[in-house]
Amino acid sequence: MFGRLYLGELKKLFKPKPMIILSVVLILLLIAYAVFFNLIGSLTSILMTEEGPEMPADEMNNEQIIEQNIAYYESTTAELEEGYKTEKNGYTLYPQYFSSKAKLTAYKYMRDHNLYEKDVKFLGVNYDISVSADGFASNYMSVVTSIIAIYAIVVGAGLLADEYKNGTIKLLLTRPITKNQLITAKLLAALTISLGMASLFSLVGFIYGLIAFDAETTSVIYLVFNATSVTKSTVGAYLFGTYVISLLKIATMCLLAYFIGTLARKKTTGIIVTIIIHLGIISAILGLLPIEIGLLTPNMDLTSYFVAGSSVPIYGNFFISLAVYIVYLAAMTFGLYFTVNKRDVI
Amino acid sequence: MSILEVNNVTKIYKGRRGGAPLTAVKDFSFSVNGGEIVGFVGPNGAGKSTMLKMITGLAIPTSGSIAINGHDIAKERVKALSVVGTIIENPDMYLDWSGEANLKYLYSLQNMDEKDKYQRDSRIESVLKMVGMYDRRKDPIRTYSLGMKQRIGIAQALLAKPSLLILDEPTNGLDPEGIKEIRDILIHLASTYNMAILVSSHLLAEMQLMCNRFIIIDKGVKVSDMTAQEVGASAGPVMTLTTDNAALAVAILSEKFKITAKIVNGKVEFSSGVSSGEIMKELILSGVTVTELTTKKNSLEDVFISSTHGRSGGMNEVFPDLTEDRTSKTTDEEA
Repeated sequence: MFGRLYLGELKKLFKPKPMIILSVVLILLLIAYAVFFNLIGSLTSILMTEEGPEMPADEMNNEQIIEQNIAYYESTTAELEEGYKTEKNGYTLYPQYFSSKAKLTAYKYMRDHNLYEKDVKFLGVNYDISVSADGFASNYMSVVTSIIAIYAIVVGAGLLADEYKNGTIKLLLTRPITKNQLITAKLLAALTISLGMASLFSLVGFIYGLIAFDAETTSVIYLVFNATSVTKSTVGAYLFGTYVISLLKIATMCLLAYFIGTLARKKTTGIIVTIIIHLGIISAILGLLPIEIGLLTPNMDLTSYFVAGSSVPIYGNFFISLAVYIVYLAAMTFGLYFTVNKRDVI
Repeated sequence: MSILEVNNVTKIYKGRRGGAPLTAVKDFSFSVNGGEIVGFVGPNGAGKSTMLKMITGLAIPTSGSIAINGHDIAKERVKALSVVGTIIENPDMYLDWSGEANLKYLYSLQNMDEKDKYQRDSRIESVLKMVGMYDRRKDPIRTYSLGMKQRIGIAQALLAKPSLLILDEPTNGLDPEGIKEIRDILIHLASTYNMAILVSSHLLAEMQLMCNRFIIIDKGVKVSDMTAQEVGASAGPVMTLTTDNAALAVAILSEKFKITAKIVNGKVEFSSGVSSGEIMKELILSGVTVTELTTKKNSLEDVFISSTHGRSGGMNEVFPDLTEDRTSKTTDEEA
């Protein structure tokens, strides 16, 4: 039934030329990444070095080091909290406060669970996914996501806009199918192609990583969730979570482009507006104001709530971000279906 | 039961950017039965396309209802549209695909439950042969002429074996031979399959050759709904009398037949159901010399112009430049 409609849409989207070009670009990037991965890794670690507690003295044991860290992050967290709450324009300190609080939570957890002697890995605290198959896959995946998101935007923006432009919308809407079936079939077809490509290249990245580096997929890591609690996980599970969130990002951009392109009845409008949003240009400007938490893109990177880093939005919290994200997704979906259902073809 | 029932349909387009709302169709009702070929005519901007779009589910009526085979299109869209074949405005298709690929795709949307490939292929073959496009079926639509696109457009409309066919300017772009072929196909479909056909066209003479009923729309309102016979007979045929004594002839016509005649360029013009023989006999007996008496049947064009109060402004509007009408882009507007 619905399958025919979906397969037809898939056939329309299946254009070998752009897909081959995209694949070539991603393979070239893979090669470049493979060549420079070690270099990029060390550069990032230099650039990312944050202010931290003093280097521990040689005679200190692990317990003392952890105590020293707790003391440091307790005072830093309190200072930053005071700062973001009271200072003029202090809200920009919030992400740092969040990161500091997460690290404090991590060290307290080590102390409370007697993890002094063991070589425990807290992601973003005393451990980064290093030069490994997983590290390579994780980094390459973020490149794949950015590029395929643009492809998904181009595809999404034209899903209905092109049918309106070419007049073929009349062929479709005069058939015995509902408008909702048509909208859904188109969305699913676009997601199949873009998420399929993203999955394929994420896998390619991981396989290359396995060949070139060791995999740490099964090794245990600890994640500080939302700066308040700690969960035990594995590198592989974290990697998989990152992959799912990447796919969600691509899907979101595709849906947004689909909605805007349809609303404007113009593919180019859909592409331009969505790429501006995708590149975070709007949130980069508005993010200077304390309304970042209300924007779409800063809330899309839900992995930032698991890495104890300072890339969370101002006033960010996992649950708020998730809620904002869901509201945006629901609004876009509703807007899309509503627009098409209430509109005449003239 | 009528195949198509249109009841008190009104369509108001909201004014865009502060413009006044536009009533495109106002309180319009009509029905079409199986076997009828109904010509839907009206000047440019009269609301023809809006009406056809509402019937085919492309536009939503502001009020009123449309039912096809008893299924309300607003409530039972899928059931209603399953028996409709349409071409609205241009016969737009997927240009990169072949004619056959387009038909296969559209067939799959038309009959989503149909699993029999043989059934599909034989149906596609038969419609392609019917419109004379079988030999070009493998070529991409991009390479087709306008007339060929029109033929493929008609082929796709027939795919579903519809009981209602809605055609907007189906003969546009066809040569005279092609027009005749399409006309023959439509007449055949209506008589053989008892199909109801609603067709709009600017070619009034052409319409008169194939339609057995006409609905005239002007400014969104139905101004006339008559059969082909009624068109021919409406207000009687127009007669023109050439005589040496026009004034006397007018007096006799008035006295003997209660006919109101007028003198135009020295000739007497009138319309009447009385036969020309009767009139000649009476005039000659009264001593009027009749040089010539011509009878002209009313054409659809006459009815059209009188119905629309000449608003269409003569030939330019009745037979507008077709290319101009074709350039209208498909866009949509919030209802």
